[in-house]
Parts: sequence; C-alpha cells; structure tokens
Amino acid sequence: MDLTYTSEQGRFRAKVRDWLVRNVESLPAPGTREGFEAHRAWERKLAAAGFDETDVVTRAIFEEEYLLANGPERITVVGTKLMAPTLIAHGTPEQQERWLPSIYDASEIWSQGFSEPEAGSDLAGIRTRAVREGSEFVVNGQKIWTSYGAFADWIFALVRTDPEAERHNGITFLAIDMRSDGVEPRPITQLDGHAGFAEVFFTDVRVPVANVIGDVNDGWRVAMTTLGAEREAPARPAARYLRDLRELATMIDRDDPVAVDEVLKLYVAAKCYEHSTKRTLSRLANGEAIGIDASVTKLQWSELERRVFDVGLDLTGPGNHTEAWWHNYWYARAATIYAGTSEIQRNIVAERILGLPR
Amino acid sequence: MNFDFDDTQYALRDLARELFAKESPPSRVREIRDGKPVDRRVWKTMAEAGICGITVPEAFGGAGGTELDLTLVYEEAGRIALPEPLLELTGVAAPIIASHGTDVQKERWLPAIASGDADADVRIDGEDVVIGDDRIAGAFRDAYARAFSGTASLLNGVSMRLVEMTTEYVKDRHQFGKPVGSFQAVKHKLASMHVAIASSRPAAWYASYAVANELADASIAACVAKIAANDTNELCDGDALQCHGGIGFTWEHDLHLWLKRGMELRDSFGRSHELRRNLAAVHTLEELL
Repeated sequence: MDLTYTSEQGRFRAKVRDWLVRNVESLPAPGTREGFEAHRAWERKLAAAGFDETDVVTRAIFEEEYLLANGPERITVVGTKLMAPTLIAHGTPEQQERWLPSIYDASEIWSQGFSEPEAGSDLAGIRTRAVREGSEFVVNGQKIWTSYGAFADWIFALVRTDPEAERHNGITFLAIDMRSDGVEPRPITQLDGHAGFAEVFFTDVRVPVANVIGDVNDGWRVAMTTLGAEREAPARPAARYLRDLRELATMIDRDDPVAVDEVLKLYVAAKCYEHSTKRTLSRLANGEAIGIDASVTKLQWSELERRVFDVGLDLTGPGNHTEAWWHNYWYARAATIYAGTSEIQRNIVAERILGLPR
Repeated sequence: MNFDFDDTQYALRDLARELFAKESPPSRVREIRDGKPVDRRVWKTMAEAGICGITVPEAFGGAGGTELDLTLVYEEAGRIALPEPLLELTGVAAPIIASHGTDVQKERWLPAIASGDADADVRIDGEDVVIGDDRIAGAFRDAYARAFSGTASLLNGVSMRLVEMTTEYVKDRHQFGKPVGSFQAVKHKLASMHVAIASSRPAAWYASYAVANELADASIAACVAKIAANDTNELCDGDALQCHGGIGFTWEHDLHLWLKRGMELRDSFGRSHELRRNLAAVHTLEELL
C-alpha cells in the first residue's frame, strides 16, 4: 500500500494549480446564451492549455485542483466523458475523425438525449422514433433533462427504429446536429429559478444514416458503453465536500457543541468518502474496471451531498446565504435523482452485487 | 497510488480465514458466550501459524510486520467473532513494547506474544499502557491509534458477516410465495448496509496505513475509522435483526452472537459520540478540515 503521489504527479499538480490561479475567471451562469458562450471560450482556453490527462490519477489531480481553484462549470463533460469513449468504442474511423477533434478542442459542445417524459428510471421505455427514408432518418419525439440542451451544437440520442421489437431491441444511437431544422429546445426552469436543462423536441428532423453510431437497432448496446464510461469515471472529488464543510464551519456558532458535533459527523462521512475515492482511483489505476460498484459510489457521494446541505440548512437557517450557496443547496437535492435515483442504485446494489432475486 | 494490500497480506488473510473457520466455528463462539472459559488451544494454533507474532520484531521470534499486515486478519477475526485477544496482544501490546518498552520488557513479552504463551490484560491507563503488571510509560497516543484502527477493522468484519448472514437469510426465507429478499423494502436495507461498509472499510484501511507509516494524521485517521466502523455496525446491527424478523430474536439462532460482538466492539475504546467529543476537545474544525 502506497498512497503517495510520484514526483511527476506532484509537478503536474503544481503546474495545474499555477495555471488555474492565473487564469480562472468568474463567468456568467451557462443558462443563458451569453453565459454559455463565455463557458465555451473558457473551455477552448483550457483545452489549448493542454493538460493532457492521460491516466486516472493525473486526471483526478486535475479535477481536485480545478475544484479548489473554483474553476467554472464544465460544459464539455458530456462530450469528453460520454461521447468520446462511445465513439472510440463504436464509431467508424470517419465518425471519429469528424467528431473527436472538435470534442477535444471544445469547438463543438455535446448534449445527451436519453431521458424522455415516459422514460426516466426506465430508460428502455423511450418513444422518440426514427424512420428511414433513403439515406436519412426522420426523427420525431421529445427528450427531456438534456444538460445544456438549449445551446449545445450536437446531441446523441437514443431513438426507436423498430417499433415492433422488444423494448431493448430496436433502439438506435444517433448523433443529431442541434442546428438542424425541426430541432426545438425549450429550457426547463428549475424549482430554484435557474435553467440548466432543456426539453428538446424533434419534428421531422432529417439525420444522415451516416450519423448512426454502431449498428441500426443495436443502440442499447452502444448506450451501455456510454453509461459504462460514465461509471468508470472516478467519483466526484471528495475535496468538494471538505470545502463545503470548511465553509459551513465558518457559518455556525462555534460555542454551540451540538452544532460542532453535527459538523464533525459530516467530517467523518466526508473523510470516509475521501478514502473510498482513493480506493476507486487505485483500482482504476491498476487497470481494474469498477463496473457495478459505480452504483455504490453514486450512493456515497449523492447521499453525502444531500446531508452536507440538509444539515447546513438546519445549522444556519434559510437566511444569509449567497446565491451560489442556494444553487448548491438545490443542486444537492437533485443529486439523489439524476444519473439514476438512489432507489434504482439500491436495486442495482442489492440485485447485482448481493445477488438478491429480482 | 496503490491503495491495496500485497500478495503476502492477502495470503495471510486466506490463512487466517481458513484457520478461524476450522478452529472457531459459531458453536464455539456460543459456548464461550455461555460462560465456557476460552481454551488456549486456538490461540496456540494461531501462534504456530504465525498470526500472534505478526507485529513482533523478527529478533524476538515474530514476523516483523506492521499494522497493515494485521488489517485483513482483523476483518477475518471480526467475521468469525473470534474471542481471542488478537487486538490486545498482537495489535497493541507487541508494537507498543517494541517501540516504547525497555530491553527487559521486550525480553519478557515479545517472544511470549509470538509463541502464544503471553496471557495478560492490556489497558490504557492515563498516559501509560499497562500490560499485566508491567507499565509502558507515555505510550498512550500510539496505543489508542492502534486500538482504534484495529477495533475498526474487527468491527467492519462483524458488519460484513451481518450482511452475509442477512443476504443468505432473505434469499432463503419465503413469504407471499417469494423470497423476502425480492421485496424492495428489504433490498434497500441490505444495499444501505453494503454501502455503509464500503465507506467505513477504506477508512479503516487508511488508518492502518497511517499508523503503519507513522503519518502525522494517524491518530485522527484512526479515530475517524473507529467512529465510521461504529456507525456502520450500528446500522448493520439494526437492519440485520429487522430483516431476520422473529427468528433473529431467538436464542437458538446465531445472529445474536454477532450482534453482541459488535455491541462490545462499539463500546471498546469509545462509542461514537464520545470519540467525536474527544476530537472536538483536542482539535478545532479548521485543523480537521
């Protein structure tokens, strides 16, 4: 067991920290066109800085430093973390050539079109359909909870190409240009007044058959790669929760032993999470796949995030918080819902790790 | 970045698992709980297998290992609810005597711990550690870190066993024509137990690493590990009995052997609220965070 970083990793950390200190700026939220374009410009600058994060440990170091530097929200995550690995696994050389460079240099921003109004936890219930006409598919339907859907350039969508087939069959993974005729994104105003997600409506949208990733009617398998890539990503940095707790510690009455104890409980939980993420990182670094254990990790960080803000609200009350704090508070409330609800994750843990019957 | 044990440590775990299963089945744990004195035979067998002397320096007949060589053995000992004084003698006394004891104390205790002949109570008294009638001055901090870290891994082993027993039971027990483990209300309890262990276990592993390498945060890490292991065990204790239902409430079923072992270990060296109170008394939140 050796938890130290190599001197090379140490130098990388110093380089990243130094660059971020000199370059991080405060940007308008990406929920408006202006804010989104500011974030795109930032992403291009970051990509040009060339912190080639080749291995998982270096990548984790980068993400930790980025977080501690209060770097802007990353709008390229869907492209780099989901679409790129999917293209690498299933795309043709032409498709890789077409899309990978613009993902990496942040010139084109991707969004994800999986969820639908009738397909949330039950993803195979998607209804958006694509009918082939010559060298094109004609797409009709609706996606929802699409991050950056209002401003992204591309969307990868699961569409039903064989309505007769059983649920998991007859689905195709399609790359759709958001600037096509008939694509209409409508921002979703969240319960806190912010807009980050969108509904995306497709009306007779014509998409070249060449934009199918993998085979027609084999999209479920391709989507599993996408979800798998999401899972293999090391978990959310623990540094984030320790930072939230440092902030909370400044807001409580330090002479109140009950309040201090509540923070200590969260401190213990955050340290446990920190050690678990190191363990995950070590497994990935040694070439192991995390697979289904990703559900355990998701439960760990999302439940911790909820607790940090729920307890925070109890200790400090609803007054005197910055807008950023409220944003984080409400987003924590979503943490146990997005990317698979806690209930779905517990089903997965019970059935696929512990082997309980379905 | 390698947060894992090495092959030798895994081999030692396998050896311990096999030996404990053979030498200390639930029937023996039950007899001892019913008042039968702990026979020396199992401890001697452990000594012959090299387990008692894991942390005893080679010059005194041991393997010269560290807290990290003990961690997985502790988990196995917890899984089997082993009554032997592995933590007290091998986990605390041996390394404390080796690092803080006089030559006379080393000669007196270390070979005897490795050979399985030592038989003494170990306790922390103020700033000293007392082994039988012998006093090791000023070793309390190191002793606490080792005791917390070791108890945490023992407890995690107990919790792991509770999940194993409960998983097996809910697959087997049928109601309404199906296994009760097919109901989400039951599944979610077991999933939460599993997730809790997935949090407290790396914390205990890290504590062992910090103790073994004498890192600056060893004491704090060990305390965090003990609190986490306590809390995980409390959760597993409650839900294991709940999921077993009526049968778990009987004397006849083995479940209570593990519930009680967990309860004892949660109490050893501090319950969660006491440990947090001590942390708050010694450190500011800024120091910890």
